[in-house]
Amino acid sequence: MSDSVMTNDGELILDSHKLSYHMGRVKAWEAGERIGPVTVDMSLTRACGAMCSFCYAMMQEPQERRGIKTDHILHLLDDFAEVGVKGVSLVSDGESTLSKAYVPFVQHAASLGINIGNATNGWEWGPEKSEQVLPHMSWIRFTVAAGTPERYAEIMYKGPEHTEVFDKAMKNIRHAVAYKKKHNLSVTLGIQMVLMPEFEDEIIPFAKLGVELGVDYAVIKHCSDDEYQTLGIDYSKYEAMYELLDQAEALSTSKTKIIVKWDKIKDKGKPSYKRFYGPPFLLQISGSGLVAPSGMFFNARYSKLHIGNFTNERFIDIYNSDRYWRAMNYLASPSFDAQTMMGTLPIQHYVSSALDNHIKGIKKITESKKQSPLHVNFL
Amino acid sequence: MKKGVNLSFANIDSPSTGVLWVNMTNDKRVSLLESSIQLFSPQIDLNVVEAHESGQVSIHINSVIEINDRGEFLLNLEEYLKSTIDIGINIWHEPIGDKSSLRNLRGIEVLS
Repeated sequence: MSDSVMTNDGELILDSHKLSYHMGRVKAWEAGERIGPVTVDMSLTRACGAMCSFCYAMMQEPQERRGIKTDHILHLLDDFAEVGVKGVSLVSDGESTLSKAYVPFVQHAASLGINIGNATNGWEWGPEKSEQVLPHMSWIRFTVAAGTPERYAEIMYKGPEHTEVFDKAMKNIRHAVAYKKKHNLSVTLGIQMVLMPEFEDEIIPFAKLGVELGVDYAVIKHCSDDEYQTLGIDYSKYEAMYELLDQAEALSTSKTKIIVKWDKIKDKGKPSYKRFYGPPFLLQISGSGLVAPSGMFFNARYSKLHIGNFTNERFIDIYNSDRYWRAMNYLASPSFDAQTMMGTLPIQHYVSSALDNHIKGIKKITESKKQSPLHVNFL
Repeated sequence: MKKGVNLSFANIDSPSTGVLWVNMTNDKRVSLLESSIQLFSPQIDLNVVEAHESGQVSIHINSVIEINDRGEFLLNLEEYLKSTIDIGINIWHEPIGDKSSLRNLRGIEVLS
């Protein structure tokens, strides 16, 4: 098992972190300075046309939603550039491609030198939209819940008879693969399966589909759940799937790598850290406009950690406020226990784990002398 | 230079609730919390929904508080309750379920 895989485009790290390439930020943080996030994960809306059974957004409803308009996101990006954000991933709690602000967002980010990645179901991502953004993107990751049309439609939509959503997604993914090749673009194209134990039968079909589509990678990851087990994920059942996951990885080709996020899958939902150090490096913003340290805290339940909303206050003012740093400090204090007070395996997991090990002296983060991997600005 | 994050608690366990709190009935805990909250912020309408032995307290704010103020208000309130009642207290707002009508077809209810 390795932290990275070599693709035709370069070294790809999906099952670890990239802090070793941002040591300036790590040292400043360790010295007690206020640092801007390297990466922000966000969404331009909380809406989505899918209804995936594994979707964490079902547990992320905040006190209020506000509409995000194009002006808001242009200002937001200007503020990101000001505080030193290097990469923005459009994942978080909604389907950003549905937003009218989507294309302007990607194009403005590119003009500011901010790298952009995007996770999408690809349903509303036909050539008229995708061709406007593909040249500016670092990566696109399509959520593909299963390798067969019926199971895909069952998991991501209303039932197995609705295979039209699978057909639409495959058409748009194939177009993106062809467009990348034709224009020799640097964008990395991947598909992702969020593995719940009951999807075991789709592991191999998913890996085969990735190879058949000709994407750069197909990744299989764990499914997050909240601390009350709203989704009812039984993490003890993952172990029984290790052999199948090994078989899936063995289907990798020179063109398409099949990757399993072993580190998270083997964690079985309980982190090694009590303090949550990742958010100052990797901040999350909801499609409702809510700025909170992590998507784990978007629900109204965690209102004490809600810092502001960028649609009614400039992000730069939120970032510079004492309340921003008070929330970050709360997560680093004994009042907060990451093992019991938040959902499992957040997007900041790898970063938080590495920073905790660094602070405890278990494993120091050191500057990498290697060439930067792909997507270095996505921690 | 303004201070960033305090990193000195990495190895410290979170405080547990004390014997007095643990031995109280739920009704007594709720009543004690509500009278303390009334002293802390008489102008805010807020009720205590549950108060677990573990110190996890669920509240509901009935007043309108702007998002810029809400988080700080709740963190201040938690600090106050920790210092006046029990250091193991953590307050959480009642969860809100997904407002997406499509996703709601899954029938998932946010647990608490």
